[in-house]
Amino acid sequence: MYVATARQFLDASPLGGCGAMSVREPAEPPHEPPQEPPQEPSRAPSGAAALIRRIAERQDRAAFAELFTAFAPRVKAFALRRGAPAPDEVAQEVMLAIWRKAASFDPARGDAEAWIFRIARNACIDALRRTRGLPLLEISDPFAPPEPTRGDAELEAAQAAARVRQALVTLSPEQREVVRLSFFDDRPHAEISALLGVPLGTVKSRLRLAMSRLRERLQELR
Amino acid sequence: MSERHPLSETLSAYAAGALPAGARLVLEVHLDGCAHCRTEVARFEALGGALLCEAEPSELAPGGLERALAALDRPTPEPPSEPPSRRLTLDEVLARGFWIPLGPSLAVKRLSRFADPGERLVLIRAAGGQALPEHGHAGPERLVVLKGAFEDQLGRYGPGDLSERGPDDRHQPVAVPGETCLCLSATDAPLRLSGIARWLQPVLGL
Repeated sequence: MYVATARQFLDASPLGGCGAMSVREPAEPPHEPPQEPPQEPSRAPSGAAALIRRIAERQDRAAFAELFTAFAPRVKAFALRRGAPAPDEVAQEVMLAIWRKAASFDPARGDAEAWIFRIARNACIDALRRTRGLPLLEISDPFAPPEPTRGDAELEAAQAAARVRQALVTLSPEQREVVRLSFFDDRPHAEISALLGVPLGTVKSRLRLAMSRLRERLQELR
Repeated sequence: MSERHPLSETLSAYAAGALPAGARLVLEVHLDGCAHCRTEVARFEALGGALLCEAEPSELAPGGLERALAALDRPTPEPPSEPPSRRLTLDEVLARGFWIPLGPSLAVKRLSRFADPGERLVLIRAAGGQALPEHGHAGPERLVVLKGAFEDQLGRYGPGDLSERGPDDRHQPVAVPGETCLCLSATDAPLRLSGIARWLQPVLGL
């Protein structure tokens, strides 16, 4: 498994932790031997997290431009798959939200990519809701006080992303494909079946196997 | 997990942003009070982050970055074109509109305007000891307790507890005596009611 080291992080690739950037093979083998994924939360900082921190701390426009280049085209791809109107506008909205909310990003609660995914998901939901003319019902604190988040639960979330990436690699290409089509593209099983030309039952069992495999890997750290 | 939490597939659909609007609201009430399910959702969001990074990029309209950079210094245009009258809290919803009586101590309030097309979203209010109409479901029902408690064949549900039932389940929840029970219920398809409520159903739009 490829673990981003501090050295790789310092080199020009700003998003070492994220597959969004084309991962360049180092010309020479890294100085450190390949490491087993750390069991403790000493996860190498991902490039996106560092860029978000630069935005939060000093409104760094260069950091924003790097994030934009890496993520805006992918957020647009996501919005397109979700059928959101004006996907370019959704991408703009998401990137601006990242700029404005950068200070509220808390690496202890999850990784930067998951945070960006959440913002993109909510932006698509909102764009679709506005198109359908649905008003917004906010149900917050229906009963007080909410159970506080356990500290170790937050640590788990922080490690989850690295685990997910490792687990995704262990899936077969077919399993990966159905996970992507179902979870990311939000396509119904029947549509995936037609798209891949495989029976519906196969789609369901592939997806079930893949998700249970991901879940197993995620629960290993308990 | 026990029966009082959403299924793992439902949490995954929530994290993916794939649940219809009404079901999402029901889930959010539960998540607000359940750290366990929040952790589970965070795991699925990490999957979303990993898939976002892998996604094939889509070419942006020209000048996107310049446009975004120019917008950075502008004051926050909070949320785009959302008139305040279209943002409602639960208390406001409880205070407005009208309850449809289904019996002396049982009433529902329709909230379908907050739900996606084809979805039913209702508030159910039952006095302590009152049985809710026995029903089955054409599609999944997700129901969360806001106040009070109810019991059905599977156990007792208090504030924040979520009951998720599939098409083949018939159940008859009964509000626990002593306190009014308030629930929020979302279904993908009309409920299959029994008894008198079944005849009223077309009129009530349940």
